Amino acid sequence: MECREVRQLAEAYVSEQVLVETAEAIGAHLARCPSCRAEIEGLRRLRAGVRAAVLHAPALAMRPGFAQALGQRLQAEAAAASAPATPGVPDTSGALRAPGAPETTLLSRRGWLTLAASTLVALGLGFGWQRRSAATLAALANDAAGDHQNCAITFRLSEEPISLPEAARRFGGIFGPLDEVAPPATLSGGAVTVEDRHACEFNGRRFAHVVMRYRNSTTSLLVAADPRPAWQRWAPRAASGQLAELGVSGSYNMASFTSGRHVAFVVSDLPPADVREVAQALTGPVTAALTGG
Amino acid sequence: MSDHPPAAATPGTWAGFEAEAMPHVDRLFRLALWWERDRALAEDLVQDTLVQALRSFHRFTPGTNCRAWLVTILQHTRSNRRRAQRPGLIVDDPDDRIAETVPFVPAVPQQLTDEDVLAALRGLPEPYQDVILLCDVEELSYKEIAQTLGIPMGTVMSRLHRGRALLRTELAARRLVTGDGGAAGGQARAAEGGG
Repeated sequence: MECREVRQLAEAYVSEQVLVETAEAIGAHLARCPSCRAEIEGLRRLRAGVRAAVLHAPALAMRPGFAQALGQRLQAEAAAASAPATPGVPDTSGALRAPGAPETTLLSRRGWLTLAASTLVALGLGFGWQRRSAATLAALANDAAGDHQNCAITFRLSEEPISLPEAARRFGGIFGPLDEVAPPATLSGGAVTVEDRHACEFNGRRFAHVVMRYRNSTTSLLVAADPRPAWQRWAPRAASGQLAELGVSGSYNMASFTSGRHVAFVVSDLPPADVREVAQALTGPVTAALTGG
Repeated sequence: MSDHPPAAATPGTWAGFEAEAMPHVDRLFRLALWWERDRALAEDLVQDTLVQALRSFHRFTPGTNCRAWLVTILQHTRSNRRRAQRPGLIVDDPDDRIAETVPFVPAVPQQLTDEDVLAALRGLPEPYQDVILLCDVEELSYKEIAQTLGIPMGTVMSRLHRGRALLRTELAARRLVTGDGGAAGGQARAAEGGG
């Protein structure tokens, strides 16, 4: 093998991308050619230098706790994904936010999980399914926040929303009753106005969506079928119609309450106290609409 | 004979995923942070990547290169985001433009500092950064790089060649600026000596 050939193959040689026979021929040439040897050593030095610089740079290191927090988040997702699906409800328990959906931070998601889990613990449910149930709810909460962001804020859902009466004709369930739900006309911060009502789908999950405006902020009421099987659902149902959880997803504050076989979320960038106030005011009308009361 | 995947690769199985994928989080993060240049965006990208990987874990073949598989998902997630953020973006392919601009390739300096290497690497057009990182840091094969970036293998090889040549030029320039050009120049002459 000649110098010219060795130089042409040098990149592949140092990257260990040549056949064994070719590597042996290059090795034989290098043994007798100091110039090519220097070139190959230089390429190896460059490769090792790049690798070391990137892998050792403190500026590129993860912050402490990121991997652990990520592991916990993924473990919860795995648990949610392996939970049995409810008949008639899209199996999206393990599904997460789609590309382009709002960017939620890890800690806020964990915060939601922790809050959901701790709520169940507070109810005295120390069983193994508690975490699975909480994770399923957390995934639903993420999707609700995603729907709020992509439907009410940026209008970039993959499918056009349809009217609630149309959704009621096609899917039945919650859509018809929610067309009649009226939020309180005023709260402590002033008027609450309804800007739109429709059914929309985000990340495979279908929501009844009432878009409101309160304190000059877009605020969503999102109602979906509770994806948890009945045996996981019974404990939170003890608090049906009561404001059960309040958490954070990304830049949004959220409050939720269960109503029979459904979960309702109020999502907004308003402060937690305002979100809680809106949710509290909606629990009665929504529960009445969904339960026919 | 059935072709069931092993238990460790079943969807939603945390133990298998934890053993196979989680050891690569540090490397994935470094690559994500290099690309995004923003810690929060990098964390979000890595998180999305691993969530996607977890959901697709049944497609991963045990015994194959898990890091290459994860890097491919990372790259696809990154590309989707960039398309979503800048739908009209036309990516400038620098191959032809750069081809004529590297007439002389200086030797690699004997002493390389991390600071010099990172600065020189950052100075390259992104397509060259990408192939060099995937080859030299992630140690992917040419075929894996081609699959990850969605480009022909010949393009991988030419970008690596030109990218490294540019990197050497950048490094040599930095050595000259810092007053250490003698060794580089000497090596360059030695490397040009033939054999």
